[in-house]
Amino acid sequence: MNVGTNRRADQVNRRILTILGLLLLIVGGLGMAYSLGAFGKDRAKEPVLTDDVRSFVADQQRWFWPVVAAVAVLLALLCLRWLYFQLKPRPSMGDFTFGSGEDRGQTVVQSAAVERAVVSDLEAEPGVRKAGARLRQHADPLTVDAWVDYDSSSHVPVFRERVQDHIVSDLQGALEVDQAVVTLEVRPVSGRIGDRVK
Amino acid sequence: MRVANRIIAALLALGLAAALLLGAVEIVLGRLDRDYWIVPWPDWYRTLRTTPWDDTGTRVAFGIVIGVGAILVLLQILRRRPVSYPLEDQPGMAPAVLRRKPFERALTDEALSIDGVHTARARAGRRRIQVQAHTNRLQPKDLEDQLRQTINSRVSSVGFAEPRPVVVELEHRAAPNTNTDGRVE
Repeated sequence: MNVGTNRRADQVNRRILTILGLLLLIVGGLGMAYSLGAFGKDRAKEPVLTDDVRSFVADQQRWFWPVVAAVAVLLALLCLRWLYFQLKPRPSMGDFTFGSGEDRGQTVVQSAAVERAVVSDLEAEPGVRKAGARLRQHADPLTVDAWVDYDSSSHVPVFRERVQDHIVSDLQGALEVDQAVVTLEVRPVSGRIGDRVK
Repeated sequence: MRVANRIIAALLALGLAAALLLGAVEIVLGRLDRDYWIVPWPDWYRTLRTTPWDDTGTRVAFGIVIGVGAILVLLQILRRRPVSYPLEDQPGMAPAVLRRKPFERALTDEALSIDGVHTARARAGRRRIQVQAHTNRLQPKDLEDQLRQTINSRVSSVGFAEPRPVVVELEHRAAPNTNTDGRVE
């Protein structure tokens, strides 16, 4: 499971749905106001598709309908992009290139190798039952987002200190970078399965 | 609520894409002087040419548009409980957040691990943490204190960025002919 992927999609969904909702409110509100005669009682008696509109479209039909079709296709593609984003909010990374100091040039590593190393280190820590990690794209400094199923009876601040002292230091040393960040999403787990109130 | 949003977003994206592509196809067919494929647009065109703005049908249609828009906006502005809580930001500690749901489950299990607690439910809100538990004991004595200490200890071991008050409530079984406060009727 990727760290925070659903939340990223949730945030984007929230923005898009807010914009769509506001657009519908504006269009519906204006239409209702027009229908109730807010723009003139006589206008409210006219048909929805007036002769003026009809003749305008007829006069401009050489470009009007092709443009409408092109805009529809463009918007449809954006909708499909949105759908794809919901299914896969973060693109997968292959090789990861980053600067490793002024005089040492560029370093290329497999992102999966970095993620595996961090997961392995995290799972070796006392109290950690399971872990996952993902290298953040285009992050400076190098950032690994990790999640851990952590024993709820263990002390979280102590664990975070150990991560900073050991895992982050090892990562910096292995990749020869001056700075690296490991962000943690802690998910407490306990061994007991009991009667929870529904 | 987030699940509802995800379903709405997926359906809307799919529906809009299909509708827009269908519209483009109908436009191309119309330009080629071919009959419509799925959308009976000549009928719609006639209806729009004859239906006035103040027609009941027009108002109902705009009413539906307003209703859908209002529902969408309301769903987005509803205040939800956070997915995760920030933990204290200290130098020498890896930056971290705590996931709400597993935290609630862990607190519930912690409460249930206490001898005498029959059912329990932990709920973390925007500011405070609430644990409601029930015991079958007629006289719980110091069980509530024990529960409070256990939960407080677990909450303090997390290291939240902001202090989060803990509210613990323990209900117990009333003795026959006795009120919950112990008075015999």
